[in-house]
Amino acid sequence: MKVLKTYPEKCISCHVCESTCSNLYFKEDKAELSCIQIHDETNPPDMNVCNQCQACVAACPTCAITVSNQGVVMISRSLCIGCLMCVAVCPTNSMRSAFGKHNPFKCIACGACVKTCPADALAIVQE
Amino acid sequence: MQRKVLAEYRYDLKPIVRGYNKRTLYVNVGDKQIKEKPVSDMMIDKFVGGKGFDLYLMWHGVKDNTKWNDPENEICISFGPLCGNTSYPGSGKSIVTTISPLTGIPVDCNVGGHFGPYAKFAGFDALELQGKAEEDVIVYIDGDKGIVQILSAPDEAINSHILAEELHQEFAGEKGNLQHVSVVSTGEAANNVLITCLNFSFWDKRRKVARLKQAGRGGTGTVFRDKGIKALVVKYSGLKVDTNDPVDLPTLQKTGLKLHKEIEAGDDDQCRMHQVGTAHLMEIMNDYDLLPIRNFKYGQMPEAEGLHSREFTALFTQGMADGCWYGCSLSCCKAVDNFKPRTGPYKGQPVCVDGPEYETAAGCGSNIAIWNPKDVVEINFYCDTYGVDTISFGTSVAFAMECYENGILNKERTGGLDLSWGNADAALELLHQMARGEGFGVTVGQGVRRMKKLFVEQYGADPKFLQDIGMEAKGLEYSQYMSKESLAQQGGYTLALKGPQHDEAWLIFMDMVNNHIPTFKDKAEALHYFPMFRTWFGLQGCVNCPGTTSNQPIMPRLMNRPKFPNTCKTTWISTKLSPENPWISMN
Repeated sequence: MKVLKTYPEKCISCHVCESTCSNLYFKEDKAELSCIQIHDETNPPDMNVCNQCQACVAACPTCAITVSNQGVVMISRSLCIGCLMCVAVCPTNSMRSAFGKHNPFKCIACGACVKTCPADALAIVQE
Repeated sequence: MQRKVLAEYRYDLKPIVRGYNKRTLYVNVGDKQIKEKPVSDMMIDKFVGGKGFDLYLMWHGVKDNTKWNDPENEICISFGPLCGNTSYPGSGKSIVTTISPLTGIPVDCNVGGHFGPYAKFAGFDALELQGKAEEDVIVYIDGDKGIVQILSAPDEAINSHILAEELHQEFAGEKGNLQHVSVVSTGEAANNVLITCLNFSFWDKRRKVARLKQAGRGGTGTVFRDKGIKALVVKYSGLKVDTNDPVDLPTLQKTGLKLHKEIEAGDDDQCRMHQVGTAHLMEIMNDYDLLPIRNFKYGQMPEAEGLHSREFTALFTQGMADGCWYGCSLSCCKAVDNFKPRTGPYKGQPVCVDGPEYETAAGCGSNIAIWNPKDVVEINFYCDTYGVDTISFGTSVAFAMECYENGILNKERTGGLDLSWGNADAALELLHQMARGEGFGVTVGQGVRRMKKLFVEQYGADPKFLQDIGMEAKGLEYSQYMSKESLAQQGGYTLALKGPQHDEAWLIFMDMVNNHIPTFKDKAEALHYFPMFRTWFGLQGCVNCPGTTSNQPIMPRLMNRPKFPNTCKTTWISTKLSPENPWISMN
């Protein structure tokens, strides 16, 4: 299973990963539109991102959520009807929804944030 | 299959505006007339939609002396302005009305499945069926192309689990689009008896089967077949989150997500709708002396342990998104997969059975003293596919069994059937006879009121005794709650316009389990406000399900949603309740 692995002890809370992700998918620089989200309230920071556990797959009423050959959970935009049931069942709160965005979104382990992280706090790994 | 197009009507496809198409569809299967009717602002302001539109159309479509089997009797199906939302649980209901063959007055049923939302998105706020076809027909609405057709239907099976499956396959076209079709059908029993229902389908992508939800009460299936209609089919493939054009979609999604999360967090410890649906009520009703047993004679028996919800939980396939419309996280429409009936024409064939829900488990289980859950599942399956209402079936068979116990009936009069309590084989044979149109099953299928009259006239039974044990009012059989000690539920049953059904005033739990309405004043007030908000659901096109969960602590939170985003002008319900009342907080 391909997954974005986090190393909180290395994270410097620069939030570059959030900018990278939201700019890539929404062309906007907003933390709430990022699939990975860094919460600074704790030390080390909480790096919240999908662990590809697949809990959302069974909850989707239209079968819009599937698992790729590499074990990555993907959402089909054409099948998604925006019910957000997947957001509610996510055990790690990593399935995202944002006010004004119709469809949920999540990390697909694309690795873009890994490349821009200045602290090596992120990595794409096979589990 | 080559079908003859008997009539065709083309209409303009237009987007929905704030939950309304502002037109309804009229189809007369007798003279083959198809037309659209405008929806006026007055209709929206006064009648809202759903049951309101149904009754408005019927008011103008039938006369005061119209009988259920007159050609001008109508079957109206309306969807309500909120129907079809995918962002809020329970927003996919259709309301069916017709003049009932059981009561002779209008009956209404609230039903899930995909037909309502798809027919609405195809372009209509309600569907009005009138006339009688000379030969069996299918009414087809193609919501992708804007075509309504009356099609010949000479060859298909009538029983729903086969017909729905076949029509999904036929009208979906290319494979993979099965979920874009929905079918309304009934079954063979609707040709012969009165206690019948309509089945509304939805395609279950995971199970790869057409599931069936029932517009159960009042004999709607009999009217459907009397009109010569074999099925209604709708196709619509453009569903998106904003198809219903809500005023404020982001807030609607945010509010829906809040409810999803509450259900996710609380359901396992509260109603367990995810696991077992409404059948979670079985042991609660038994514990509180409210479970109908042996024709409503008792409310509790040790044997009811056999119908404990854990037995049904074990039969239901778990872990599925079991909503009858998209976005309903209550997921209460459970199913038994690969069930092999032991009797009847489908003996040994693996089938998917929707339910049993509580009413079915109580009516076709405890009320006729059947304690084996698999027997209940089998009765449930045959009721559905034959188009028989499980509630009226349970109450009618219970009445016949009590008559048998008291010597009013005997084997000679039942055609050899031993109607002793708990005889599942006999109960199933009654069902098969209803489908075949023969034997004592046809008598039972006329319902309790007609059986009373018949048994007095033919067998000299004491009419007073039959009046005591025959659980019907207005001609409709009671649904499955013991109301002997609940004045509020007795009022709920007998004040309901259509007859003793619990959907208007389901007060048994508040009254008898939670003791929330202990005084006469409390009960009287509940009989005012509860039907008001249940009716609101029926006008808007919503499920009663958040209401159905009202037996548990989750309910005050679920119902406490006065800021439910509206897609239309909404008639908010005003109540005289105090803010301290934990049960209601609707402005």
